[in-house]
Amino acid sequence: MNHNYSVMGKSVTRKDALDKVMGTARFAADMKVPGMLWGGVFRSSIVAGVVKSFDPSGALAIPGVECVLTHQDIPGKNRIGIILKDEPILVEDKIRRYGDAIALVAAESRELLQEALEAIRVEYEEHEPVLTIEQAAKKDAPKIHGDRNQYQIKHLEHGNVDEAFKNCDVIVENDYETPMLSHMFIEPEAGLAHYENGIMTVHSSTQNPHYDRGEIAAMLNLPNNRVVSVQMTTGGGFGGKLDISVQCHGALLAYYTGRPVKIVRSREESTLLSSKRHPMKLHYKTGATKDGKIKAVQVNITSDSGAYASYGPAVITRAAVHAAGPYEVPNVRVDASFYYTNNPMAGAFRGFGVPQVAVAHEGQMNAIAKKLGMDAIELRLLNAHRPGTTTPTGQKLDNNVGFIPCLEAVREKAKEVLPSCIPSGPSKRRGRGYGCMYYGIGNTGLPNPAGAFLEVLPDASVNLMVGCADIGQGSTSVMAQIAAEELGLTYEDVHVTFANTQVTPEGGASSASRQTFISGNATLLAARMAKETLASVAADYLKTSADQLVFQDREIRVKAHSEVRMDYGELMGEMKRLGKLALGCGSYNPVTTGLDPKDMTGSPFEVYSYAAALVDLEVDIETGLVDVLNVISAHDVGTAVNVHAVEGQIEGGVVMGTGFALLEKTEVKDGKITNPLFSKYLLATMMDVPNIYPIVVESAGEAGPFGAKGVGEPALIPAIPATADGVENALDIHFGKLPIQPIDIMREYYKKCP
Amino acid sequence: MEKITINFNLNGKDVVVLTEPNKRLVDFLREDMDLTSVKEGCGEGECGACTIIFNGEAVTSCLMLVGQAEGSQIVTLEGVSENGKPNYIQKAFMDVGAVQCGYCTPGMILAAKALLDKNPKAGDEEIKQAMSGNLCRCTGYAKIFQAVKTARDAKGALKHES
Amino acid sequence: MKKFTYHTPAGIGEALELLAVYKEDSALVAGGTDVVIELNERKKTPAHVIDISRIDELRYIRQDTHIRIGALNTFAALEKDQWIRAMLPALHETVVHVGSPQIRNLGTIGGNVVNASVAGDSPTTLLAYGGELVLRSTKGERVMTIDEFNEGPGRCQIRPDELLTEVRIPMLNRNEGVGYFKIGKRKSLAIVVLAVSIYIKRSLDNRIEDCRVVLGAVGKHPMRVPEVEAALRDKPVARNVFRESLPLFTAVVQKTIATRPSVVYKREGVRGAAMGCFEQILSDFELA
Repeated sequence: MNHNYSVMGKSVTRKDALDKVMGTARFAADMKVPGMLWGGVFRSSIVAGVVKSFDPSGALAIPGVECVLTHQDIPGKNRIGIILKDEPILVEDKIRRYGDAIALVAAESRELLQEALEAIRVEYEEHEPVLTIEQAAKKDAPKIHGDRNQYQIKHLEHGNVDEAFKNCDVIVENDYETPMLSHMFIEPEAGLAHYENGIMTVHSSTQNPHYDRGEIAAMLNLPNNRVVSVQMTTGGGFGGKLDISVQCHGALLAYYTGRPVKIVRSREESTLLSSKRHPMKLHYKTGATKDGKIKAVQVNITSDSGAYASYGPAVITRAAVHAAGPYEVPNVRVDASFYYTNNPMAGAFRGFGVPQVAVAHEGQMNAIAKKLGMDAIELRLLNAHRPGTTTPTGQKLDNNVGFIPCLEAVREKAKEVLPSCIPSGPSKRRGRGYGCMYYGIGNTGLPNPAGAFLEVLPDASVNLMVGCADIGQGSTSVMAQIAAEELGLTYEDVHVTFANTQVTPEGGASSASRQTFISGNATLLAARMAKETLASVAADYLKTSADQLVFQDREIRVKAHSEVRMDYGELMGEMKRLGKLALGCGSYNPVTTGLDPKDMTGSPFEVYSYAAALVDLEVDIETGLVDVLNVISAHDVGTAVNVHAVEGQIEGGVVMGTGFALLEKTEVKDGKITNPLFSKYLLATMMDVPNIYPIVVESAGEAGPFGAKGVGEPALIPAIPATADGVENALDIHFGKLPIQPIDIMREYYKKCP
Repeated sequence: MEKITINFNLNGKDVVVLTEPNKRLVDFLREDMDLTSVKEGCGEGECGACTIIFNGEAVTSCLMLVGQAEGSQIVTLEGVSENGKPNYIQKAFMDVGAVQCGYCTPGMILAAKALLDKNPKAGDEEIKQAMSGNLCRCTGYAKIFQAVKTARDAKGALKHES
Repeated sequence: MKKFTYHTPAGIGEALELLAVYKEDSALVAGGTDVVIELNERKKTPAHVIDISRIDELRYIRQDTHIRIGALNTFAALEKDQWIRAMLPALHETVVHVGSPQIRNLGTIGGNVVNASVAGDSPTTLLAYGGELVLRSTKGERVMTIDEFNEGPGRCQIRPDELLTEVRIPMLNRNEGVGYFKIGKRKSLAIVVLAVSIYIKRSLDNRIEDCRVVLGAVGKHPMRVPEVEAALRDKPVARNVFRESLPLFTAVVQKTIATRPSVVYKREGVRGAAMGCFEQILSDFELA
C-alpha cells in the first residue's frame, strides 16, 4: 500500500518490552500485599456423581487456616459461563468432570493451604460417566445438563448441494479427526482479590477483565460498578484465559475473610481445568468439475464440549460458517453440533473451530488436486475468494480480500528459497504441503463492541484508555500507533491504560482476532473526536477550514500550503487559552447481520483475513520423526500496524501449527487428562523449529483502522493442514487424523511397505 | 524445624539469610528476596521460566532446594541490567521484537547470558542448544533466536571497535 | 513441602554416618532434579534431607584399570570433559542428549542411575560399557554391575544406608567400540522413547569376538538382548552383518512388549536406532 504513514506500519518497540526484559513487569502471581492469604480449591477426584458428605473439620482445626467455603456461602448466582451459564462456581448439584471445584480454602501460607486441602474429607456417590460422543448421543445416556446432550445444532444450506453433486466429475469423500489440545501458555493462571470499602478488586491473568467483572458481581450480588477487574501482565492465553479461572474463587474468599487473597494455579491444575480445543470428527464430501472448479461441499461435524459449554457454541457456529474454506463454492451444506460429556471442558483455542475445519477443507483440496493431477496452488487460485465472491452464508465480499496475492506470494517465495526438494539421506522422505484459510474477524454474527477514551494533554502527550487486554499479542502498542497516526503525534507520545474496568471502557474479549479491528476502530474514533476539537482550534489559528488540515509528525499543516503550519505545542497553548479540552471517546461494533437460524444465511463478519502456507519437511522412515525444514506463511492482514508484531504472530503460529499436526495431543483416560505437564505434553523447542518465512500481504479495504484486519488466529491455521499434507506427500499415505505422530507414521508406512 | 543460614552472592551482593530449609530456591528468590523476575511455569524443570545463573551456569531454580544456594553466586534478571538500563542482550530482545507475553523472557535472557558470558562467539547451533531448555508458546522462537544472534554480534562489534 | 531437618555433610564419611542413622527416613539431594519435585509435591516426606550436592570429593574423573566417575559429576561436567569425549564417545553422546542444558547443569550421573527410571538415559549406555557401581555404607563397600543393580521402574538394589559413590567403566582398547542412539520426540528436553547401546569387541581378523546389545525404554529397565548378541558373535564386523541382524531387534521388541500400544512404534524404530549405533561403531573402527 502506498500510504504516507508516520507511525502505522513501523516496527515499533512494544510498550511493555522494557519492563519485560528488565524483569519488572508484574504478573498476577508476582503480587504480594500485607495481610495476604493464600487461596486454593478443593477439587473433585471423580468425573461424575454427587457429594454425599463433606467434612472440612480437619482443615479448620489447623491453626492458620482462615476459612473453608462451599456453594452455600455464595450470596448471589452460582453459575458462570461465557455464552451459556452452565458452570457452577462451587459444585451444588452434581459433579460433571474431574477437578470440579467443591470448596475453597484460605490460609496464612502456601504450606498451610496445602495441608488444609489434604485434610478435607469428602464422600462421593459416583455415577456412570459419559466419556464419548457416541455414548452421549444414545437416547438413554445420562444427561450432563438439562434433558439432552446435543446442543448448538447448526445447519447451513447454500445452493442445491444434492443436485450439484450429480454434475460433478470428481467427488472426494473423507473422514478427518482432530485432537483435544491444551493451550499450554507458560504462565499458569493467578489472581489477587481484595474487598475494601465495598469495592471488590480482582487483579488477574485474563483475556477479558470486563467479562470477569460481570461474573464476580453476579456471584456477590454487587452492582457492576462495585467490582473492579484489572488485567495484570498476562503470560499468554490463546483462548485458555477467556473463562473464569481464579477470579470468582479469589473474590469469594476475599469477601468472607476481608483480607487480600491470592490464588496461583499449579501447572497441573491449570491444564486440567482450563478449557481445551474441541476434539472434532469431520466428514467431508467435495465435488468438482474435471477442470477443477469446486461445485459442492457437504460437511458433518461433531465435537465433544466436555462438561461445560464455555465458548463452544461460538466454536460450532464459526466452524460451520468457515467449513468450505476460502473458496467460492456455490453449493454448501454443513451440519454441526457439540455434545456434553464428562470430559474436560472444551472452549476457545486460537481459531475457534476454524483450525479443525481447515484440516479437512485443505485435505479435500489436496486430494482433489491429486485426483485431477492439478498443481495445488493452481487449483486454489481457480477457486479462491476474490472481491465480489459470495460466501456460503450468502455474504457478498467487498474488495477487502487478499487471498490470491497470498497464494502468489507463497509460490514466488518458494521459487526463491526452496529451489530443491532432495532428501538429506537414504532413510529420509521429503515432502511439501499446502494449506490455506480464511477467518472472519470478531464474533460470529453477534454484537461485540469495544470502546476507547482518549485525552490529549497540555504537553501534547496522550492518555488512551482501552478495555482491550494485552495478553502478549501487542494490542497496547497497536492502539498507541493508531491513536498517534490519527492525531499526528508520535508513538512515544501515547500512553495506554488498558483492561482495567475502573477506568477503561468495555473492550470485549482479546479473542477472535478482533482487537486490532474493533478496539483499533474505537481508538481511531476516539482520536478522531479529540482531533475535531483540535482541528477547529487550529483552523481558526491558521485561518483555514478544519478539512484543509493535515496532522502529522507533531505538526498541523494546511494541505495545499504546507508552509502554513503550527506545531502541537502552539496548538495546545491555544487550546489552553481558549479553555478547551481535547477529549475523545469511541465505540465500534462490527457491521454484521445475525445468521438465519434456518440456513445460516447472513453476513456474520465485516472483514475476513486470508492466508496461505507451504511447509517443506522430511520424514525419517527409520525413526518416524518428522523434521520440518522450511515454512512460508503469507497473510493478508489488511494493513500491518506493527510489522515485527505481525511477523511474531505468524512465526509463533507456524510453530504452534506444526505442533498441532505432529506433536500435540491432550490425552484423556476415564475423563482425566493424563498429560497435564510440559514433560508429557510436548511443545517444540528452539532446536526443533524450521526456517520460517513470514510474508505480510496488505489488501485494500477501509473497514479497519487504516485498513487493518487481524492476524492472531490466522497465524496458526494454514501451517496445520500444510504440515499434514507435507507428511502425506512425503510418504504417499493419507492420514486424515491428527496429530501424525511417529507411531502413526511407523504403523502406516510399514503397513504399506512391509 | 531448625532454620538454616545461607551465605551466598546474589546479583553481585553478598547476603546472609536465615530461612526454613523446606523451600525451593524459586520460592525463596520470589517470596523472600522479592526477585519476581524468576517465574514458575511448570515446577518440573521443563519450561525454563525459573532459570537463574548459578555459579555461571543456567539452572532451573524450581529443581533446587534453598539450601543448595550456600556459597554460590546467583544471578537473576534483576542483576543483569547495567545502571538500571537494559544490557546488550536485553536491548537486543527489545529491538528485534523478541518479547511477546514476556513470561519466558527472563529465563530466555538468562540462558542467553550464561552462554554468551562463557562463549561470546557462540555459533548459531550453540545458541539453539543453549536456549533449548526454555519453552516459549508465543514467538515460535524466531525472533528470540535472532535477538541472541544480534546480541552476540553487537558485543563482538563493540569489542572490535575498542 | 513438609518440614524436614536439613543436613549438609562435608564429606563422604559424614554422609554415610547420616545415612546410617536416618536410613529410610531420609532423602538424598545430589542434583535435586527429581527429588525436589517429589518433596515439593509431598510425594516424599522424609524427616531428614541430606544434601550431598557440595561433596566435592565425589566429582572426580580418574583412570586406572577403570575409568572412574564420581557419582556427583553432572551431565554437563561429563559433556564438557574432553577425556570422556575421547575415551567414552557413546557416554558423551548419551549425556549431551539428557534433558535440557539447565537439567544437565544440575542432574548427576549417580542420581540418574539410582532413580532407575524406565526412560533414564545413562543406564542403557553404562550397561553396554559393562559399567559397575560402587556402593558405600558405614559397613563397607559393594561393587555391582548395572545389570545386577537394576530391578525395575524406580527400583534398584541400593540399601537405605548406602551411597552410590562411583560409576566405573573398564578401560577400553582400540579393538572395542560402543555406540548409543536415542530416539526422543523432539531434539531437546526429550525423554527416551527408545534407546539402543551396543558394545563390540573385534578380533584381529575383524570378527565380533564379544558384544553387548542393550535396549533402553523397552523393558522395565535397560535389558541385554542375548538373541542378537549370539547372532552377532564370530561374524565379521561389517555393515551388511549389522543390517542382517536388524530383524532380530524387531522380534525381541515384539516379544517383550507385545501387548503395549507402543509396540507398533518401537518394533520398527528399534532398527533405525540399532543401525545408528552400528554406524558409530563402524566409524570408531574406521570402517565407515
